[in-house]
Amino acid sequence: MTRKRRECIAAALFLIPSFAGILVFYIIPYIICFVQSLFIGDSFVGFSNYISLFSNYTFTLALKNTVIFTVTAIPLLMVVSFLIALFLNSFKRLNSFFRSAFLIPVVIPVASLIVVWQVFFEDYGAINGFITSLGLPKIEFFDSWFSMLMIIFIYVWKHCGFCVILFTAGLANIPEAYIESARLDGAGPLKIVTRIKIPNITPTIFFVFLMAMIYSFKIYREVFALFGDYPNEHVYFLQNFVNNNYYNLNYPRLSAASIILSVFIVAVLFVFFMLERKRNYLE
Amino acid sequence: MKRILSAIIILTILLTAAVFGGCSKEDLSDKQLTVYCTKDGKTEYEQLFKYYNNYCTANADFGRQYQISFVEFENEEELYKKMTTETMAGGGPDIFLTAQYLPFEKMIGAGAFMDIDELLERENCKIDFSKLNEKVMDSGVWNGKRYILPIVYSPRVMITDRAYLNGLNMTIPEERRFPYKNGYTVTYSDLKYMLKYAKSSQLFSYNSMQLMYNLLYDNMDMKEKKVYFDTDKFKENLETIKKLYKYEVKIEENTEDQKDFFGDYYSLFAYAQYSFENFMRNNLCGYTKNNFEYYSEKIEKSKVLYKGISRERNDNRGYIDLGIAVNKNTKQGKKICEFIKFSLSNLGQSHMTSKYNSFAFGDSFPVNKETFEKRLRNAKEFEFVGGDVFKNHNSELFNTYEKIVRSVDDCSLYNGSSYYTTSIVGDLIEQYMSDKLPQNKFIRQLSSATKFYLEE
Repeated sequence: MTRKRRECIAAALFLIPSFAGILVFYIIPYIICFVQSLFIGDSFVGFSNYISLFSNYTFTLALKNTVIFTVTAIPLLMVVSFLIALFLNSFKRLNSFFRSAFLIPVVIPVASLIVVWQVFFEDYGAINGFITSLGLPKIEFFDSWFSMLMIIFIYVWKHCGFCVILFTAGLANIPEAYIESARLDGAGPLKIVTRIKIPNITPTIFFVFLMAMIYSFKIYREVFALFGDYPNEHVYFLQNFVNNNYYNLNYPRLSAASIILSVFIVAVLFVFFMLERKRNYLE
Repeated sequence: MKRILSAIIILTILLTAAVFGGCSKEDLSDKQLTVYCTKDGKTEYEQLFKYYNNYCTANADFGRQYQISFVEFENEEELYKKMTTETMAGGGPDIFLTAQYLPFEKMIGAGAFMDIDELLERENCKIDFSKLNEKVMDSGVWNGKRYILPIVYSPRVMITDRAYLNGLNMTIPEERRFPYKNGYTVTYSDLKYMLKYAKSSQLFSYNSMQLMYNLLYDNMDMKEKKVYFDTDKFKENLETIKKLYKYEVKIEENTEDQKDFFGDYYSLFAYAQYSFENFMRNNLCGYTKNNFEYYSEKIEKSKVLYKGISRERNDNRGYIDLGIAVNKNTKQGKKICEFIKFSLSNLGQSHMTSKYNSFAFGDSFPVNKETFEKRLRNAKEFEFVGGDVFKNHNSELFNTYEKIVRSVDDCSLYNGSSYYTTSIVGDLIEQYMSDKLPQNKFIRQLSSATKFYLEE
């Protein structure tokens, strides 16, 4: 046996416990979850749990709200943080101060943030105080479609800092020569951003998108802290559905919803990686 | 070579653990039935299971393995977590008790319980349901399947004193007054007028939170997953209960009023939910004497028994005091069937509702018709010694009580707090009662949370 072959066997053997862990703690439970989603009690029902999920008002509502939140909040977060990063990139002296300032929301515990936002958004809170002082009617942030706006705002505010740091790091890595030569060729600020800066930070954009996506699934913490287990119909997300079904012991529905949620995440990630691969290929 | 060897050793250890982990096969022949409970909660059921366990020991066909054992937990939270996690993982207790803090309506939908009819048929266990109170037993049937088996039940009965009511000199218009008529059903609307005209100190011995919970159960259909909260009647009833709650808070806070707390207060109504024997024997007399101190001498003639408090005048809804559900994961069907058979038998039911029993459900009524009649006969034969109250078993009062108990036409799964009222809408109720939430908002949020809860 050659040395290389021996090393390969050793490496494979050392990797097996790790794979066994993944198998035991991820793949097998996933399969069990899938199998459980095909049963109600002891009786096999095929895909009827999935079919009944899509005819279930709460699930479709949760799915709709999750999609609305994802397609609104993620692009908004990316655009806002990119614009702030661009701004900071132009004022390098202020850069370090603002970067630290923007990071504060990320490190503050959710419970503390919620207390602050409650003071702002409640019926007799600061925002409503301001609105009513202008003679406008009060907004019920906790009991109307404004709840969704409030959650999107909190999401962007909380995660903006981290994304700004990622974008500023990406922008700082663009060689100054590219921008200079573009300027000499007569490119304006907008063209420099769209033609030079954005294409050069594409890997960063993908990474920020991935992070924003992960954060969007964590928004449940804020929703739970603000509204409890049962929020109003405007901010009832898939995580609420899954979590409540877990507590209410509805395992068949919980399993089916989890499988759908995981398929949804895998599909988004698949598209994301395909796009990234395509971009690398074009490069 | 060294690395390969160490890798092989690690793998061998892992494989050995995995292989032997799956080797042990559970031997159920010696295993007892399990019920999970908290240390405090255990005392509630101990009598019932102790008697059954003795019965098993004495019965040659059964033996120790048919007995029921408790798995104890420190508190409700720990019990709930353990019970739900284990049940989800394919384990859990063999038997669930309805008195436990669990979302039964959700567990039924999730297929966590066995259809008891199917189980009895599979195990070839014959139970004649025509010998049981059909209306009460039907309360445990969901979507045509018997998931909950009521063992004992209670009616909603209240007692009052007409002499005392007259003495209060309330300014209630004649047409709004309760008739001093035994068996009259008090509705939430009646309460409204009573509260309107009574002084704040003329209160009810009725826990307003419990009334609130019952109002919610009365206005939702857990089986059909429907809520009826957005009606004028519900809003009106809600306001009445809130007013009652405010009176209670006022009494608790006002030290001046507190001196009367055990005197004149709690005089309009008192609970009167006792077994027939205890009704005759001493409990009702003792209880009413305490609450109607001024009138204890003229007690029998001036007492009135009411039904309710109900949503509609023709309702006579009771509640399941104790019922059981069978874990779908259990492999001990035969033993469970024997337990069910015993619990519904004349012997088991007699023990549970025995007047000498310290069992927590001793004031409840048996679902077994024969036991019910026997209990009634025993009560009527009871000779009251050393007093002049309730010695006449043919009294109008007792007959009314019998009629109310007999005519219970439906039973709710819960009475008072439950998983739904505590974990799902508990915070909302608290906010509404303490004026932090206006009624329209409360109803909106209550409807939304309940709808989500039922439909999820």
